[in-house]
Amino acid sequence: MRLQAQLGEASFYLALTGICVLAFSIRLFSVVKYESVIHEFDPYFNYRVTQFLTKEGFYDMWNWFDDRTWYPLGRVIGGTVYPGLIFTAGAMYRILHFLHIPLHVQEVCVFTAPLFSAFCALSCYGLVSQARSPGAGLLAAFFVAIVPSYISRSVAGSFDNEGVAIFALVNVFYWFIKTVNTGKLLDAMLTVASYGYMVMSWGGYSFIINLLPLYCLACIFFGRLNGRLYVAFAPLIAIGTAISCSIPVVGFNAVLMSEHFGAFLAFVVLHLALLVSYVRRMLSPKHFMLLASLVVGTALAAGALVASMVFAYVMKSPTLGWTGRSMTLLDPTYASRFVPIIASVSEHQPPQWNSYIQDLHMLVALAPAGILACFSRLTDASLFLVLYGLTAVYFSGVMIRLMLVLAPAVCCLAAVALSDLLYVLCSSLRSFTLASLLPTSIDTPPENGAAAETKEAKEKDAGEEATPTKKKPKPRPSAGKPAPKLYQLPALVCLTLLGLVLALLTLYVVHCIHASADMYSSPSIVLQSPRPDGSNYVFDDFREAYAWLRHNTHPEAKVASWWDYGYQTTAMANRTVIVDNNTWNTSHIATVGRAMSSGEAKAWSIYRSLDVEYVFVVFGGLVGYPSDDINKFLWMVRIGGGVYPEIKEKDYLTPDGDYRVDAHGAKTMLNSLMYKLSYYDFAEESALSTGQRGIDRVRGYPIGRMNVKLNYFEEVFTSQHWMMRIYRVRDQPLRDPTPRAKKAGKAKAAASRRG
Amino acid sequence: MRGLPLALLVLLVPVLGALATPDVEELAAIRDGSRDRVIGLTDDLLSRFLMGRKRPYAVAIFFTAASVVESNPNLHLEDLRAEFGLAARAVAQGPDADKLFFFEAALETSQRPFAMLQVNALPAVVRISPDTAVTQATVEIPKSDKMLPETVGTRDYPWPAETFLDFLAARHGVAAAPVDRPSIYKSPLFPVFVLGGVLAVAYLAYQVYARGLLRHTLPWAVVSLAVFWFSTSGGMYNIIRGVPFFTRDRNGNLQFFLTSRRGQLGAEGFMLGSLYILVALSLALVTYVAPRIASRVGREALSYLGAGLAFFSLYQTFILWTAKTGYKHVFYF
Repeated sequence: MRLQAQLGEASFYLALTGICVLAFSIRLFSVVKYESVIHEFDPYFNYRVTQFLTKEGFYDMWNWFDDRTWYPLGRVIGGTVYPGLIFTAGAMYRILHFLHIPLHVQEVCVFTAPLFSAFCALSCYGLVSQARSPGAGLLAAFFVAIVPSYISRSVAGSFDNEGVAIFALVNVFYWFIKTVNTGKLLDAMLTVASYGYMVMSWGGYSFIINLLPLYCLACIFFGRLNGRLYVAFAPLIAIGTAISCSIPVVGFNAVLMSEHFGAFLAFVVLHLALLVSYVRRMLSPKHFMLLASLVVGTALAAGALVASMVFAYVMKSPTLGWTGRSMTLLDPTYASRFVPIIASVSEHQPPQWNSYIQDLHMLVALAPAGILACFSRLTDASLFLVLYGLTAVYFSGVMIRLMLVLAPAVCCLAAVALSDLLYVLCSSLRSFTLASLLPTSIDTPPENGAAAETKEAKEKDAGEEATPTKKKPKPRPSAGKPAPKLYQLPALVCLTLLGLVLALLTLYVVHCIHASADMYSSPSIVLQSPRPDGSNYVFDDFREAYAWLRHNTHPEAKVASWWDYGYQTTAMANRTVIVDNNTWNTSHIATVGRAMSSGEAKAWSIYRSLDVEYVFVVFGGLVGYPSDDINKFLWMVRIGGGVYPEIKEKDYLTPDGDYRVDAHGAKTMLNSLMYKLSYYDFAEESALSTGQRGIDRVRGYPIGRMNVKLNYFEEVFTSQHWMMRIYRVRDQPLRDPTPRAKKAGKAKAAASRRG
Repeated sequence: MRGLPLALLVLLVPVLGALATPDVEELAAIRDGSRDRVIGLTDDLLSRFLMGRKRPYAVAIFFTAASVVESNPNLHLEDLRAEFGLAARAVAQGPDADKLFFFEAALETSQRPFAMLQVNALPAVVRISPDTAVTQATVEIPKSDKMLPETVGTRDYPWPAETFLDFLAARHGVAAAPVDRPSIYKSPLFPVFVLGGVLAVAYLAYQVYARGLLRHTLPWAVVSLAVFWFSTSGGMYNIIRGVPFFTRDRNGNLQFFLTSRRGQLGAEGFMLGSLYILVALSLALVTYVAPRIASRVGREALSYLGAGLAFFSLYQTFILWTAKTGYKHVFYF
């Protein structure tokens, strides 16, 4: 028996290790298929700051004023960045070098997210084993290790805040629930510490600071208030708020923004509820009633006064004291009406139904069963799982990006459901094989009720046969219901459902591998397209162009582009940019949008006034790369028009409201700088590849103006597949044959000479 | 003697002018007698108030036809007409009430305006400026005075009253009062209703709480499933993008499912959301309900039902997913 227990324990740890290895290795497809490279846009900024940290040290990074970006404003990096990810990678780099493992900082950054996914699987295991059972915990760890939604933001090379923040999120929940279960002060301190790490890592901490108070209120409402909850919650609010205040990017927002007010409310309510229960114990019921009606009467009056004051204070600010992104969550139509810069980001769009099944696969169908499972035996911890799942699923419906927060919740709920199902099926089957020896005993209910449960509980089984009873008897007053008697299900049903579960798990694994390998591994800085013979053709235009900028322009040259490419330009080309992906100053971005949507002469004067020397556009018309600047152009117009009313969206659309760049396209559109820079000399080049002049392969029709002439800009570099085109802003415009433009140009030239 | 014809002429001009000028006060009276300040255009009104070389007021005519309203609900002509009425009311209450009159030309009442102004497609709203000559023959109206989908655009269709005012009044210097939409908030009884509602809700909430109904888990489980169902159906997407529940295809058949990757209909999302819930419920049936039933027949029937439902709904889910995105599981082994 002892050997069996030891084997069980060994296989349990083996499974957990295997899950961690799986979580790490499934995210390596991007390195295997492409190379070890930082992905996308934001990670380049994080990479650049980490580089700075490892070179210059902690304090220099904390005080870093970056003059290479947002020219001429610059940006205080230390005070405007969530430093968790950067410190994590920097610390890992230091430790590796202390151990004389000379990894380059880029490799450390590339592999940070996969490593923390493995940690996240461990925290998920912890959370569910606290809430339910270690068996369900193992299932949850397995689910979260390969769930596509999480993979999409944590493949190797995706060096973004979410890479560590999802681990941090689940970690806070784990320690919190552990504290709620044990009531130990040490666990409470660890909860606070992990909350501090979360605040450092991601703006999504406001999800925690609203979910945990909600949970606290729900506990009070359901009569689950006890000392353990107080030990878990009160230090988190008191010390946790102090910690978040000392992180510069959050600062006093932690006490001033309405997003945090819920936490303080719950804090007050918790104390009041404890006080009431104390007084109730001290007084006789009659006296208590008298006191209660007195207090409630005065409290109602005072409460109305305070509420109206808070209401007035909140109403004074235009967004009612909430930040724009939070308003987007509460009032879904807010962003599309007021904040085009939030609405323009694709990950802030609401998801369609197929996003759920694509990113969560069968878990999305199992999670509601998990909710029912939690309700069927409601404990403090399973109440938390339900609340987490519900809030996350609502928010993910508003913003596709928050699917990431939903993924661990759905994994935990699905694991609970599946483990309960497997328990019922397996225990039915087990007693069936015994019972089938005695055919008469089928009718009598086999003894796999409460007795079987306790028997199973003693076996530490690492497999999927979960044991729903709690291992450690905990002082829980509300969980005292005896488990009802369970009868055996027909063998056919059990076998069918086991087969179904097995098939589902297989499909899940297959889908996750496919998602990781084919959908989410593209670094988007290097592109591939399959060739007929099975090999891949590589498009490396972006790095080619950034390298050109780095080697062929003056180190102090200013480069303008749409904000999407700002981080990449500073990190890879090491040149000063006008705007970048940290979209803190809308009017500055609008200026660039205005220049791109104006005519050449006006754009020239705008760029000259910003000291811009080079302008580049991303263009996909030659090779069919759809996310190019022409397709993003309407957002430039909208954002530009938000600050400069002279730019009107309808000027860039056909009378029917269509956005086209062919002969039917609006005149303003065909005269805009964006059109000219994209399609300059394009007609001849496309004639070589498609046989017809000016065929745009993204839009799929011939462009509207074939012969684009540039008088104020000069083409200096176009990458191999024309995906990036760099232009120099001329010191003086060319002499222009058309008199009006010439006059304007002369005036501008004279103005610039005077300037 | 040379002055006589001149004097005659001087005398004649006001007389002719009086003949040519329609009676604005009478028209205003007709307008004030109409339901929402929009005058139904009859042949009689047409010849009395519209015909002539000039008028002291401009005219806006809303064209409609009952047959089109019934057969093409997606034109939203009734909504459009309501907004037109709001615009008319706003102008009638403004300082320039007698400079712009609103008419409605229904095909059933009179076909002459349709022929005169060459309206052969709806929606159409035409503005006749004061100095446009209206005679028996067709009247040439510049395109900038016709509100058609190609001149105003279809972005905010059905055009709100503000668009009408912009196009018909403000551009021509006719001032109008702000649009007064009928709303429950403006009723004097509204605060009373709100107070009553709050008190009733508070009383109900107290009763529900006092009887301990909220301590039961079942209502909460139902609410939770509903939230989950709504979110995973893309319900928020439906609200934010304002997608319809279903559409009609070219043959007029109802369409509940779009097989293109982009975009969704309300119905298809909720179909999938319901399938997820069905999977969950059937599995919960097998896990929590069936094993607790003492009767063997009932237990077996329930468990077969649960297993069958689970299988069916999962199968349907995957079928629909493939239909939507063309996705198939790719095996690498």
